[in-house]
Amino acid sequence: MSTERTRFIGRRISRTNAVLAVLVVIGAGISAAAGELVAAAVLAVAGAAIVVSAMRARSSGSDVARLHTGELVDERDRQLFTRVMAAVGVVSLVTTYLAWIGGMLLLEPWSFGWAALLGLVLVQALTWIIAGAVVARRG
Amino acid sequence: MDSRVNELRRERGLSQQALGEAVGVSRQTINALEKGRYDPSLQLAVHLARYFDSTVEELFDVD
Repeated sequence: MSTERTRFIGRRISRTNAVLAVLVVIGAGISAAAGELVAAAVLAVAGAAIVVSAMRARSSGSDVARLHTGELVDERDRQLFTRVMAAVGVVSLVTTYLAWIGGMLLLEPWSFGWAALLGLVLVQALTWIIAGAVVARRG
Repeated sequence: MDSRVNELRRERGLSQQALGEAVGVSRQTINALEKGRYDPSLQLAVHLARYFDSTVEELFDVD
């Protein structure tokens, strides 16, 4: 994750959070234009929540808040965040495989849900292979 | 890893926050270093050693 800072309403938040917030707000605008006002409102609140939580995390001085929002300020934050993401990855793998096994047993072969679960497993397996090669090469 | 960061910081009357700002890390990183819960990168170790006019070997006990 990028740790570069972007000035946002007079304070700096990570570029990742700034881009995420802008994308969510653009989604809110598109939803509003399409007449989906509930979705637009939910997305607008989500965008505001991303910005506010990121700014609060940076001003609170709490490393836990920084890890929860991805507002990383130094090498220890980055190291801890890597471990957090590793835990998220393991849980994601386990839950995806459990859902896949359940889908194989319960869903009609080649139905949309069946294919979607198979696709998720394949994407995760591919990500594992690519990430392993890239990380090993970069040392 | 044991370090003399806490000892040298106190000698100079610095808070963890002030030392963190001086070397570009958070207060929590200085705290974790002092308690031996975090091993610094080579870059941070060198920054700390230079800040205290010391050497990495004098500041950190790797044994």
